Amino acid sequence: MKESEIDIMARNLLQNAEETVSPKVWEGVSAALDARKRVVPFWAWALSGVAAAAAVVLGVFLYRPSVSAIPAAPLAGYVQAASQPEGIVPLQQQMARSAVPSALAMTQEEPAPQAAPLSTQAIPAQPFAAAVIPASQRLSAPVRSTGISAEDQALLNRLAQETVQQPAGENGLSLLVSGNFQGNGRGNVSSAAYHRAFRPLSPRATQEEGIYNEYPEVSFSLPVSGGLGFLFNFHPRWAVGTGIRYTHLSRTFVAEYVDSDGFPLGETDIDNHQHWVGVPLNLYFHIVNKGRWRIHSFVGGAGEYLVDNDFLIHSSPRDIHYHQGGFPLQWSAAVGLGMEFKLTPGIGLYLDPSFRYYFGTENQPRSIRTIQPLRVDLEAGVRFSL
Amino acid sequence: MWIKEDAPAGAASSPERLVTACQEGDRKAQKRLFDALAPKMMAVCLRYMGNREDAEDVLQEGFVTLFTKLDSYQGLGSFEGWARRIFVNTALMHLRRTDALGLSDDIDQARTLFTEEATPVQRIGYKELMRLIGQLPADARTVFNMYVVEGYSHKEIAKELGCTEATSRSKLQRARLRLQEMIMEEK
Repeated sequence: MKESEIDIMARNLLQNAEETVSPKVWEGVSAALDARKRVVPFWAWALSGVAAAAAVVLGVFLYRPSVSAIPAAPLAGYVQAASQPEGIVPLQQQMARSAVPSALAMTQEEPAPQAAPLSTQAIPAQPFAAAVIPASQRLSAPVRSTGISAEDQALLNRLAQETVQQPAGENGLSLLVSGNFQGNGRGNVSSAAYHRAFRPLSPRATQEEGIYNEYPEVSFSLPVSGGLGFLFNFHPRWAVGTGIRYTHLSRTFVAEYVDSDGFPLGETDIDNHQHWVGVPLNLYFHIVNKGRWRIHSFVGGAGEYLVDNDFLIHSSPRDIHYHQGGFPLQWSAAVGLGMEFKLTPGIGLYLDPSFRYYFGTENQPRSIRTIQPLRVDLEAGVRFSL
Repeated sequence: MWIKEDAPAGAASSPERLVTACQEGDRKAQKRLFDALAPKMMAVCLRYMGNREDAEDVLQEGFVTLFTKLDSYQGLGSFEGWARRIFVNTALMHLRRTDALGLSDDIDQARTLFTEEATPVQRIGYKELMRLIGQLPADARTVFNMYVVEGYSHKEIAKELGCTEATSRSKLQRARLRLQEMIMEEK
């Protein structure tokens, strides 16, 4: 087309034109750049995760079963040392075997009627259940060195029951209503990090519908999850939890979109929304259970299925939705340390920060997980005893 | 050169060093780069958006993008040209979001328009031309800016805007004719 007079005039006037700029613009730019700097960096999340993991490890290794620290003196009279008759099992051993060592501690105030020599073997610890037994219910008669009295046996049986039947909220089944949050790293990922994480982007070679030639810059929003679950305490210190969890991941980027007719839509804004449904399975260990507070560590994993991978392509005259599917299950493993505050014996608020690693992300659609497979996850929720 | 020569001592004194300082997050360097580029880029944004309020929004968003994308500038070609493309793209995104680009002309109409001859126009000033361009429909204004001022081809425009080359030609011709009419009416 022949260049028109108006083209020449416009180019000459406009090409190097300048306009005054309001100071508000720089203030806005500066504030936006500051806001980006304030995004919590990944290392901060990672550091808190390391601290949580360290606490978990310490919690597990520092915990000693309650049969290792009882004072030796009360054992006098209850344990017949080397001279005991064959076939009679000392009370100390019976308690250790039945995992109800509580009764030993209750004898601390009792005099030793028979001054038998102290055992030289390892001394069982003061049991945690001892503190809750009133003095009036403690052993009223010494145990004879030849065995266990009927009264002691009854008490042992009752203690065993008390150990199993903890107060509401300590044992049995609980319902969990939870929400999960993860960091979004820098929010915006640099081109270098992007190329490290993704396969090289090749130019579009086909006319198939799809997203091509993504710009390296991508902005991720905070991943958010919500779910329902059950927690089953099968032991005073151990529990297993499972349920169902929905997760929403999203990102915004610029790329080329080719529609179902093979028509390319050049460089355009695209919002990607991923909807996942998963089933977590966790094993909990209660480290501390005191008053209204409970501290626990946990390990576990989850399998998640991508229900919908929706691309919203901003286009004129109307936006376009493009859906991808057929991705394999996403597996992950987690380790964490949590705490619970009991509002009532049956209702508790809990906070479970954890480290979660996502496996096989190279086969999954692009998301913050594929760039940073190791994520810090924060689960908060309410537990209702059933 | 878009970097002023009267830079204070100690400040980045070449475009390369200034870009490097900006990449490292040096806020003073970023302000210098902003001061150097903003007036020209404001003119670009104003041409596409047609009003100062929207143009300032695009300018602000464009600079945030520019500072966060500096890593991808390879030093090949003109920095100003690279930056200008960012602002043009940012303006196009805004126009798409507001559905201002109604690019669905049929080709027959476009062919009719191609045959019309532009008549000579009287010369007008910058401010007057900017005002008239601002009165063009957003789709025609966009194609006119991209083709005439930025130097995009119709193929590139079609790719950027997601329309056909014929539609791009049609919109350009509409813009020229409408501008011509408005200039004649003004005089």
